[in-house]
Amino acid sequence: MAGGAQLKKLRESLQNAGFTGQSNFSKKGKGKKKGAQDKLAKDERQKVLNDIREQFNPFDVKVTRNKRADAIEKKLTVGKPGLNKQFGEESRRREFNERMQRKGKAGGIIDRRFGEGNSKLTPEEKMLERFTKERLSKANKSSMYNLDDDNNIDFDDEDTGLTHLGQSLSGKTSNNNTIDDDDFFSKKRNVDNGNENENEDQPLRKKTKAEVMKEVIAKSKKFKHERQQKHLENMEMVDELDDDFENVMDEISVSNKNKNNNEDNGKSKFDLDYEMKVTEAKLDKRSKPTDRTKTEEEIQKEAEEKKAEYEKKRAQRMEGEEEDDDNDGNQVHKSSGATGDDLGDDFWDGSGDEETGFSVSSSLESLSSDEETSDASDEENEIKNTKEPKETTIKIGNKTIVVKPKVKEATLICPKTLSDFKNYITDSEYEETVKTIKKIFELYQPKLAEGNKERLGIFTTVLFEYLLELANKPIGFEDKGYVRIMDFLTRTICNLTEKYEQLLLESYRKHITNAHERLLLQDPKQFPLKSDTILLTLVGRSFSTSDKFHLVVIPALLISCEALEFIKPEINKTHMFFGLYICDLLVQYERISERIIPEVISFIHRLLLTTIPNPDQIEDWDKILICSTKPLSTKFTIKSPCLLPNEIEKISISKMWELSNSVNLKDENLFLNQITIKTIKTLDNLISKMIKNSIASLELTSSFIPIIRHLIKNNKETNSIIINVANKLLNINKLSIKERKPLKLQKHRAIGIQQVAPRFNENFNPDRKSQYSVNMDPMDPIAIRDEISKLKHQVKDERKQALKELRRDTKFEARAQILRKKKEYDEYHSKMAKIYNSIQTEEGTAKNEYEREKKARKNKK
Amino acid sequence: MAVKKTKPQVASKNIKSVPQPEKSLKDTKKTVLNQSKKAKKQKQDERFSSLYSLSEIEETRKSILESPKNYNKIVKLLSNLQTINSIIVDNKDVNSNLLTLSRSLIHNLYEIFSQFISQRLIKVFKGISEQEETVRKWLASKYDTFQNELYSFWSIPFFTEAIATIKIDSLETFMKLIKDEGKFLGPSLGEQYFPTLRYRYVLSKLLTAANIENIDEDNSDYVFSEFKDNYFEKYWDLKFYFFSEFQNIINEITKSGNYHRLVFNKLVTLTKSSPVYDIENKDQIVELPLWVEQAPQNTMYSINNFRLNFEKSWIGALNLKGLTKLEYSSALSILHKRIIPFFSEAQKLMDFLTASYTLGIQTKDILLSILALNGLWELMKSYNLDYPNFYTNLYAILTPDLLHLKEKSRFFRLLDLFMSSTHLSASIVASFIKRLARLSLTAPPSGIVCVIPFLYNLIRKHGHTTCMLLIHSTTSSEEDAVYEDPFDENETDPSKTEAIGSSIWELEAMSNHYHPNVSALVKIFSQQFTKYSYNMEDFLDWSYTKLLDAEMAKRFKGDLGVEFEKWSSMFDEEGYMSEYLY
Repeated sequence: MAGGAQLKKLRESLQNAGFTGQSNFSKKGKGKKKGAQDKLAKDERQKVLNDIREQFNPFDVKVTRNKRADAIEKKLTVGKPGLNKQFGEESRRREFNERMQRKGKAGGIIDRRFGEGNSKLTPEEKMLERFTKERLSKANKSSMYNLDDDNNIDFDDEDTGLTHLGQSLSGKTSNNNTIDDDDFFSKKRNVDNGNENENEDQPLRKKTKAEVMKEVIAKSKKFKHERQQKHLENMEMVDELDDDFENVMDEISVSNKNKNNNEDNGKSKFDLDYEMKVTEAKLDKRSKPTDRTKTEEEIQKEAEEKKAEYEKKRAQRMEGEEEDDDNDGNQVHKSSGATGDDLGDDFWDGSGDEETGFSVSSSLESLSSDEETSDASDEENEIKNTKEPKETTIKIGNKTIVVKPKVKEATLICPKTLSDFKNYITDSEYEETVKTIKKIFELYQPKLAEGNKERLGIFTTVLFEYLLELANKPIGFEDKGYVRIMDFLTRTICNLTEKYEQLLLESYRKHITNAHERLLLQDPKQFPLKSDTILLTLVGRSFSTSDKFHLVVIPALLISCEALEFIKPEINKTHMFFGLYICDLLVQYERISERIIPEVISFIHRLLLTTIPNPDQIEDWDKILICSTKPLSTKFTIKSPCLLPNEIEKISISKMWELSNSVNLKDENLFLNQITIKTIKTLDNLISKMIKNSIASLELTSSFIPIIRHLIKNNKETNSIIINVANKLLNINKLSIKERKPLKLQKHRAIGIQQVAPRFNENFNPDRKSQYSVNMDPMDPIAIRDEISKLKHQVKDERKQALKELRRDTKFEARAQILRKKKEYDEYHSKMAKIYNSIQTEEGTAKNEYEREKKARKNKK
Repeated sequence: MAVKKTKPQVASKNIKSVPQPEKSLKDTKKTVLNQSKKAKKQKQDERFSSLYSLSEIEETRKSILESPKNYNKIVKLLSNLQTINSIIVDNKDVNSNLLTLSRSLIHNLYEIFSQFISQRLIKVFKGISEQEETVRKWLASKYDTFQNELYSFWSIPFFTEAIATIKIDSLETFMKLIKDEGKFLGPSLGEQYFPTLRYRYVLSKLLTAANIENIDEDNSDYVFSEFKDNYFEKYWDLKFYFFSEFQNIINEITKSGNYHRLVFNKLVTLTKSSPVYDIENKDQIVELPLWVEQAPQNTMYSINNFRLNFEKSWIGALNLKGLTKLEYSSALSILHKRIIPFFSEAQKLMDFLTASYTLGIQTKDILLSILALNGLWELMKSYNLDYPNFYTNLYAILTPDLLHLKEKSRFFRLLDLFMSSTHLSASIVASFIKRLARLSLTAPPSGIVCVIPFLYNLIRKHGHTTCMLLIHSTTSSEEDAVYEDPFDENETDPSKTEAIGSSIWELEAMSNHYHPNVSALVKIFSQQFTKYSYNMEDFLDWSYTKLLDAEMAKRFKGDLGVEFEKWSSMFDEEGYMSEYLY
């Protein structure tokens, strides 16, 4: 049946390819249009046929799989071991057959005369022996049971007699002109003769052989086919049984259920409770020893370990080293519990409550801090939520799944663009917006449906855009709702950065490029914006800014520095504040790696020189790194003597932004004072992060010292902040003078100069293609060594190949010999059987005759 | 002629698509002016009615050309042109109707006068009757009026596309008139002649016509750029006579005292974009096309004459008063390539260059010095100029501003050349190295990236034993214990700074630079000095934009370093930036 299916398939595919069916019909019409086209068609046809053939013998093709090659989609090496084997076999058989035909007939000269090799015999004895042999052979021929009647012996021809000097003694073989050694038979002639003889009856024989082969193949195919059919039949039967089995099982279960129900009804309440308990215990994860609740200490220890590992990684990245092996990386990911795979399971469950429903579950710090910062209003929300009546809670062990009833939010579609998102929210109603966002995150949890993860990723980028837009609004820290939504958005984005790395990378890049383009316009209305501060701060908060190479941090650094380079604090107050903020931010970026940022150093200089009173009276101005001329007072120089505040309050970005745009004199003074003292504070940070450990600390500190000194002089009261910075500067300066050592960067072991001997080749010929082996310099040891190793390798390869081939040959020969032997035995036995038979029949007839005779005689008596 | 006909059509089409700001302008006007506006409008209507229609203009032209009796109608046409001009000035724009009208008017008037010119009717010469003479004089005066009307179009200070079309039309008309004059108004017909006076007059109007406020913007003057692209650069005679007439114009301007900056800027624009002639194949100028076919060949094709004129023009221009730094630097930046090679005596620029160079150094306005340095070097190289204290002055250019300038690559190319001298003492080279290293402490990455390979090449070139001391001192550890940096940063003479006893810690500090490429580049100083030299060109033209682009081109490989520390908010206590608030 199955074989029938196979055949059917074959037929079908042939028909589909257009080989069977009415293909001939069209050909008749185009009888004349044959030629090249036809040949093409033929080739095509052959190709299609081959394809079909391959399709039906899928195991004929063997493909060497290579992990790397697969990955780069290179052409795979396809081998056909079966076919190759078959070809080899066939060629060997052909060769073998040829050899067998020639065996004993061709090649070489074999002296078969008696006693020729035997030196012990005297010529007379030799002659005698030969003579007897001749007689014997003649006698043997007549023998009826002689098995060796083929012409193994030289005297196959009655006429072939003794020869002398290459001439037949009987004078018949005159055509033989060989003048060589008299006694040798020219095998060649023999072969010729033999071939001629064979040629006469060859066609018949050969044909039969081919036929035999065909028959054998057909037979084997038939057997194979039969076997397959049988197997398929078996399989079908098994399938049928399987089908039946299901039915049977259904019935059994139905009956069982009925039984159980009956039993349940009969059970007491106690039993039911007991069973419930048992199942609960079974489901309870606590029953597994691995999942036990960890003690506080353990949790702490684990967190510490994790932190240490993170720190190690960070240090590695800071040095610009590649991360460890994949294994290691995976491990880390696993421990963070935030890979894409387990996103659907633990990640969302672990943070079941609404507030942190989208934070990284494992990062305990964030979780706890999230909870801490949740406002009172938020808590109310939560209470409301928990009071909702339809909410059902399923408790399994220590895990809690809260299934909330589906309400109208189902209509909420995950927004793909900012305008989509804005349809769901109203401006200024920030609380509502937060709720909407949470709802969206809840509705599109990745575990709920396929594609949700991607949707949320896009939603996160939308939120990012929304955040930047919000950031540009002239609202500040006074508005609690604004602060809350900003915090919420930034936290959400930070936490999801790890999850949607690529999407967020793209959107970060987009925003950074956008800022860069705005910067290039050199329009104070376009750059800087408040959103730029938020963007850059967010980069620092979400990414590991200490990395040596980083796809987001480095661009962010570059545009920050570009901004510092091009903005003009001397004439624009907004630039002043923006630049200062960026400096502070960059110092924060480098808090771990402590890399040096020349732009920041330069900008702090500029800022200080812009604001400090009486800049033209600075002593030692030529020590200041950025001064080539005496600094002059600017638009924003504070009047001397100034009174800088002794303490720094927290600076509000929006407020400063507002102040910077105000033309009010009082505002300006307030602004400038704030800026100056904040700059000093930033300088303080700068000293401890960038300058202190730099090898050029001497130059850097001595550049700042004149400015700070001047500031102290011009300030009315002693200001602790400035004094503090001044002390720090002086200390570091003193220390670095003491520790200054000349550089010794070239402390290498001296390397020898590479010695190269010029090569003069007398018979150099530029026209020759392979000059290496031919024109190889006999004096060049490297070339010689190379050549030798090349040759060695070649020889080894060849040898291996040859040995393999030889082995295959001998194996084949052995097989062939066994076959031949078997055949011979068979022939012999059948012959013997025939003879026995004939004898037996003769004996039988004789016996019968005898019996008849006996009877007759008896009767006579 | 075919070209002429198609051109206005295309232009008018363009103009139709331009929205007419007339209404909006009126709306914004204050209501107080309403009444006067009404009056104005009435007046305007009157003026409109006094204009000819298109067909009338055509007819008038025909009748004028038919017989001298109708010559008086020219006056009417000219007054029409004047009316149009005043309407444009009042309305600050032209509507399409008026535009076609004015264009046809200009065109027809040109036709009329070109006809007169071809009949030599405008020229007064001996041997004609008195009556004839008065007619001719009258015609000549009308011709002048026509031209003056055209000039007055150029002085319209507003910009719309329609006005621009009219302005360019009048330029075209002028040039055609010059062509015609050259053809027919020579001393005798067929003689070689170029109407220099007319050309000078057109040029002086052209050079002085523009808004002084948008001087600094490139290509703001479209009439002038039209002249430059389609006439000055294409026709050799126009170019030649430009420079021969320019001196006269300069003289006039110097007397009047106006337009100095404007004229200078325009001269810079003309010479900036391409060399005035191909200096390699001087003879090719003969093959350049001519605008006035009859222009005198002998004077025109004399290269020496041209160079002399060119030189006089430029020197005259540089002597103009009231030029700002901007003008000087724009001239300095093209001096060595576009100006000096075409001077007959380049030494004349010597004082100008040395003065600008030293001025730049003294005022620490090194941009000026850098720009002058190129020209100065050209003079030193080709004209054997001797400049004392060259290296001291060069050393003075190394101010903190240097690495922030866009022109730093230009300077580094030259510095590379100057420092390649083998006759420099090690102390001078060391001073330069130390100073450049110091500058990199406050420089942007593009500057540092220039400095590093430059210093490498310097150290490599000037011997392992001398300048290598700056990165590898051979002192013993006992000597190091009492080491004191001998470098004197205030010393202006590079041979006395003692920099050779110092080290470039500043550059070594950059190995901790925030940009990975810079920090990697600094490491070449601590590696074996096996590289022969770095190709400076690879490092000179980096900028933030380029660095950013390179960074953006990097592909995401599946791992972003994410911060594992978590802050609860951006600002305030426990925030990322704890000292700030929203």
